[in-house]
Amino acid sequence: MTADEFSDLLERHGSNIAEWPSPLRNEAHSYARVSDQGRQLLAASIAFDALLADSTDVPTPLRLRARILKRIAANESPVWWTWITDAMWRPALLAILPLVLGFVLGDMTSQLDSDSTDATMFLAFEDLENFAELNESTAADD
Amino acid sequence: MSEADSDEALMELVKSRDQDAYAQLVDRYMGPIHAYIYRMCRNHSDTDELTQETFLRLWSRATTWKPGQVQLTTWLHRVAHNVCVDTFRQRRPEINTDIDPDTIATSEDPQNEDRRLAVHNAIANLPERQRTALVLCQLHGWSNKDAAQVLSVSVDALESLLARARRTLKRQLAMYQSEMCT
Repeated sequence: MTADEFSDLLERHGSNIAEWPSPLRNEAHSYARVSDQGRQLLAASIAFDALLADSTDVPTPLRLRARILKRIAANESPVWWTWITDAMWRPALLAILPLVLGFVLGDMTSQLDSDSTDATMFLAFEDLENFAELNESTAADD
Repeated sequence: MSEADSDEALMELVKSRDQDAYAQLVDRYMGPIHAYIYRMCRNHSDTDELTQETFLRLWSRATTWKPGQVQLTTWLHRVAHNVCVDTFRQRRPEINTDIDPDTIATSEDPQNEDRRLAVHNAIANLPERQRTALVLCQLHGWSNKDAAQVLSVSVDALESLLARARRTLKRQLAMYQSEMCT
């Protein structure tokens, strides 16, 4: 193995020779042991890895988990429920509610009136039919 | 449901819209994915947003993961990588890859701070594919083979990206590297 080859392998696989592919490992270990240049290259590569490893602390924000799970739960709710629970619509819904209630009650009342009119007319016609039958029977008697 | 549930078992449940199983996967992978995305974009608010997008895709595209083809962690990193790349392309002028010094863990030694900032900036300025290769192999300790799967390239191509990234960084950080040697 030459210094250039060893340097190239360090750049491809990093300074931890124990994790290199097995066919290269033994040869690389031997080269780093017997060659001064190999030792220097390996030391420089280890220092480089340490330099990069120095900057790896990345804390995960706790609120992020809750935010993700909330999004999923919201996506899984029925559309109408999401729409109703949307905070922006609540005041508007409250304002509309008496209006809707008024329409429903009004409609129900008019339905009731119509039903009672039908009943009155039915009774009237029923009386008329009875009256006609009475007339017919009187005429027959005569 | 125990913590020891395998990725495969949890993903099967996620495919049938099980939110508890999904929460377990979020707990399992949020740390590494968040760290990976942070190292790719170097900005905390973008990192949170892109991490969230990655996990939303885990939920919405769970059926596209095929057990046995690729490990879940590799698949998830590939999703995170695609989310980052898509965002970089769409919002190139908006994403600030210059590191904000306030976001780096602080150290009492100003020399350390200086070195840390230089390392962050040098990594941030690498081309995207070199940065991905370096972040996965150098900082996350992935094997070249697994990192190649994330980037959908051959192992040889991945090693070439790694070699170029390391060469560039060694050149840019030579001053700090000699400090580490002494």
